[in-house]
Order: sequence, then structure tokens, then C-alpha cells
Amino acid sequence: MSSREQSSRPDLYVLARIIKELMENGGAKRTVLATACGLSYDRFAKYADWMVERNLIQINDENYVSLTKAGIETYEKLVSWIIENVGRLRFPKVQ
Amino acid sequence: MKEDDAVAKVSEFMANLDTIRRYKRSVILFWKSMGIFLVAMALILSMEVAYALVGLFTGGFDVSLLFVSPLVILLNILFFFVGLLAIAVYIDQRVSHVKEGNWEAALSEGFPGALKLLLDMDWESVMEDTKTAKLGLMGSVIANVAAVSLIILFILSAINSAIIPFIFHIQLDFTILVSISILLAILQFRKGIDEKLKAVWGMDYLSADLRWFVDELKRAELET
Repeated sequence: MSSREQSSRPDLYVLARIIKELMENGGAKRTVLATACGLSYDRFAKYADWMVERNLIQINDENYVSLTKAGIETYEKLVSWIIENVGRLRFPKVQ
Repeated sequence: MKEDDAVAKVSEFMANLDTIRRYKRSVILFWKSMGIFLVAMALILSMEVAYALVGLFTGGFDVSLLFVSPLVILLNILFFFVGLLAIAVYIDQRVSHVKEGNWEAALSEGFPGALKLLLDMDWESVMEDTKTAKLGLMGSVIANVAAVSLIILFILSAINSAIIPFIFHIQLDFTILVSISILLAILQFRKGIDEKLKAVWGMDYLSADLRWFVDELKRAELET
């Protein structure tokens, strides 16, 4: 686990990958999703628990993971944040 | 699509960082090349002095002749200008053919990849690069003006010694020649100097923007 994760803060990149995968495919079983995101099952499980706690994803009795409305909104907020803030950087035109 | 816009913004951001890194690289190359050039110049002059001293002690020839010899003067001037030109070409080649960041692969992953690039960025080094690039830009303005001033001064000195005394029966003071040379060089590069100075000021804004952006990014990470 990275130092970001060890300090109980999850890696935004991994969260974005999980959400993107769910947005593109609608939903998936936990094991399938872990593989699709390139994560070990244990690591994925920690992220999944964290995301369920914050209502970003939901997991049913058959271990099927799907995105909640809050999950989609969080991802869209993140995308908007990047567009707005990276777009505000004023780079000089150098030749 | 919003995600594509975000990836495009990060792509533009990374390309701009590459430009800044190229400027930083050109500063490093410039000082390395100047070091080699000055050492080479010093070696040549030392060899000429040594040759003159040998002549002095063996009584082979008049030492003063060596330093007023048109051939020696011409060779020294030629070496000086060819050396400067070689440095300019060398830096241009090295800098323009270098691909700085291998970030396209990360961006092919889409938005998560773009986010990863920003999260993994060594921001302190980016800010250092911006500072160095700013110095590089200022240095390149000074170097351009100095190089062109030298060439103009060389031409004006020749005119001042060969033509002006015959026509006007006067000879201009060296300080006046230097001032005219610098003024002409500035006029020649007026547009380029103006653009580069604007870019230098732009670097100041960018440094402040980057500082603010990093704070915002850290805050966003903490909020997760």
C-alpha cells in the first residue's frame, strides 16, 4: 500500500479507476472488478469497504458491485475540479 | 465529454511543463558549453603567449608582431564567433530533439491516468524548473543582445578605423561605439526581446499559480 493509503487516506487514482470501470461497465462482481482495475483482491476489498462506508458504491448479497448516484457525482466533481483548476494555470507563451 | 476535456487540459499542462523543462535544460547546456568555450579560448591565448615568449627568449622574432598580426587576430575573431555559433546550434539541437516527459502513455488511460500524473508530480521540482527556466529566458535575452552587439561592434570598429577618419576626419570614442552597438542590437531583436520578457513575467504568475494549485490539490486529497 502506498504511504497515502497507509495514512488511512485512499489513493484518488485508485478510486477514480474503480469508479470509471463501474461507469463504463455498469457493475461487476468484486473479483472481476478487482482484476479489471489491476488491484489485488485484498487491496480492492479495502477500497470497496471505504467506498461503501461513504455510499459511493453498493454491494449486494451476490457480491455484485454497482455505483451509487453519490459515486457518479463524486467522480464528476473530481473531473470538473481538474478542468477548472488546471485550466486556471496561466502558462506563458515561450518559443 | 467532460472527462475528455479534463484529459485535454492535463495534456496541455504536461506539454507546457515540457517546454519549461526544455528551457531549464538549455540553461544547463549553455553554462556547460560556455565553460568549455572559455577554457578553449584561454588555451589558445595561452599557446599564443607561450609561442611569443619562446620567440622573445630565443630572439627568433619580434613578439609584438604576433599580437598585431592580421592573421592571428582574424583567427582569434573567427574562433570566437564560430565557437559562439557552434554553442547556439549545439544547444538548439540538443534541446529540440529531447522528449521530456513520457506522459502520453499515462493519459491513454483516460481521466484516472491524468489524475495520477498530477498526484505523482514532484511539484517542488516543477517549481524549481520554472525558476530556472525564467533565468534561462532572461539569460537568452542578454546572450542574444550581447552576441549581436559584439558583431555590430566589430563592424562599427572596422568602419570607425578605416572609413570615418577619411571622410569626416574624426574617430568615434569606443564608449560611443559600444552604446550604438547595444542600441542597434536591441532594436534588431525588439520583438523577440519583448516576447521573452513577457514570458519571464508570465513565469512569475505561473509560479504563484502552481503554488496555489498544489495547495488546492493537497486539500482535495485530504478531503477524500
